[in-house]
Amino acid sequence: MPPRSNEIEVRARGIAARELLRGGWSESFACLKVPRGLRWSTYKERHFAMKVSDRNYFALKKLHSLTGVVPIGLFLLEHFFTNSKALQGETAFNNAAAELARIPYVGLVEAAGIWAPIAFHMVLGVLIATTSQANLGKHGYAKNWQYTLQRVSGIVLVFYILFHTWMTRFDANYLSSPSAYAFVADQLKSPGIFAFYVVGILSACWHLGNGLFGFAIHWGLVTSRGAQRNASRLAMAAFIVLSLVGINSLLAFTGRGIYPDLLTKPHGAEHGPVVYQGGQH
Amino acid sequence: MPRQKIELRIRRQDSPTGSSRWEEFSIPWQPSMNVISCLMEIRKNPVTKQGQKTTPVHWESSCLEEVCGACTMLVNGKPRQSCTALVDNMPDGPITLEPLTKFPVVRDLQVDRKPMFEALKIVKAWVPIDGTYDLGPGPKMSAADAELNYAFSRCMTCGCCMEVCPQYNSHSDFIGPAPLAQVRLFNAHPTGRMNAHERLDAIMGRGGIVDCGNAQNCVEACPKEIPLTEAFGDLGRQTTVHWLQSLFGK
Ligand code: HEM
Ligand code: SF4
Ligand code: SF4
Ligand code: FES
Repeated sequence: MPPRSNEIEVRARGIAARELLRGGWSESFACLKVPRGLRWSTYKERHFAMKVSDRNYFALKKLHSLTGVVPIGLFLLEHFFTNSKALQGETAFNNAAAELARIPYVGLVEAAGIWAPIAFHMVLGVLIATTSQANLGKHGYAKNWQYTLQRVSGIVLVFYILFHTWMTRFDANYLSSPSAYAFVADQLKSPGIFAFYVVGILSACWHLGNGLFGFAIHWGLVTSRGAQRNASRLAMAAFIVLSLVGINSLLAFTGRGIYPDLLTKPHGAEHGPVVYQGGQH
Repeated sequence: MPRQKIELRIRRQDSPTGSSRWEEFSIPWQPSMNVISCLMEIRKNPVTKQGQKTTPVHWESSCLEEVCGACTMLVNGKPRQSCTALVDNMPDGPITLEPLTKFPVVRDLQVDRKPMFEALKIVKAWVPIDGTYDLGPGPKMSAADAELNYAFSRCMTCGCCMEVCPQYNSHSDFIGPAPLAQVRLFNAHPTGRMNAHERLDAIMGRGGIVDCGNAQNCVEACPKEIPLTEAFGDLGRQTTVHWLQSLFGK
């Protein structure tokens, strides 16, 4: 697609200005090298780094934001749903896991719906995180904490996701084990691994919860200050609820999950006993 | 009880490429002093607290009423206008003055805010009305719109928002909050709106609106209380719609 006239004009101006900088002005202007720990390499790079109307860049960033919610965010919900089956005991969880494996085109669904989006989001996410100059120490506003933790949790997730899948989905012993539940329960007996799972789950819940706030602003779903405040509250609520569900499903594998009768369906008995069986495997 | 002496710690730098050093000063307190009058006091007799002769401290200021932004510096670590930084409102102890860290230092406390002005050119922060004939009066603006737009028009390119933005730094292409907010302003102007797509095109590249990470420090730091983050939500919406329209061929 040929650039629009406006793009040409803007590019032309960028180039003209760059030439201007390369010629006399930049040499005579003494501000080129800035000391004091400031890594402005050159003044001119700073000004004209922005490549005007670089639509691919825009599309990539939009896709990054979108993949965080759909499909990765949705997948996290599904993942927690399946894991929560562990609250109903070993058989319930193993059945749920086996049912997932019977999804039609499961390999394709997994590759296109989970692996590819996560790989894309992860690589671009790490690149985005490197463009930040965190300044929580100087400016400790609440939103700055959220911003910084979004990046920290993202980096934690890189390690967590690699480790977690390496220990389960890509582990030959796991794949051939008669009970997925028992296999995971066994792994979680190690306090180190248990702690790692707690950190990973909390990171994922924070990252998705707070990510929804960023998503709402990036896509222009919330514009006014009040709407943004509400979006932020909702995001924090999502973080808390997700964390409780996630950690509880983790505890279920150790037989200590909490399944309050409050939350059971009144007619649950019709579909088999919905009682706490966490410790009975 | 007002202080008798005012102690200042100032980060000095002789030239744009030179290294920086701290100097301490002690000057007599007078009623209603601000940071600039302290600097003027030092200029009368540039001797450090330790009794060493030195050069007068260099700074930039113009309006002295917080509308030009020229005197912005780090006062006790926070970016603000030194002309409205009143000594009597500051906590006890020495007052620390440093140049902004996100702009090239010219000398001492003066920085070059040119990156912001260049960015305003990139985003076309103006209403083009030049032509060969009189275009007549433009459309009217509602009072409510005018009020909101007025908020954005108060930007004095002081750079406080840029200073605190974690995404605006030497290893990022982000053009920063202040120029982006001006796109919001000019795209809401009844005549400026006619060129809205040009400004949107300009902020949809690398370093544009998608590089904001929603830390929202900018809105906390803006001395003019400009609703910057509302602008970014709005620009997120405008650019998304513009992008989808171009994708599906409007
Ligand atoms: C694998 C490692 C990951 C890394 C390094 C990473 C990194 C990032 C970064 C740096 C951002 C901020 C983007 C910005 O503000 O411009 C972000 C946003 C986001 N991430 Fe991730 N992420 C990862 C995994 C995930 C996972 C597993 C999920 C889903 C549970 C997820 C969901 C989101 C969402 C919803 C956003 C908000 C999008 C937006 O701000 O518009 N991310 N991610
Ligand atoms: S938006 Fe506010 S802080 Fe930023 S340059 Fe304008 S007046 Fe200064
Ligand atoms: S919201 Fe945060 S990242 Fe965006 S411009 Fe403001 S300070 Fe910078
Ligand atoms: S001198 Fe103009 S803002 Fe301080």
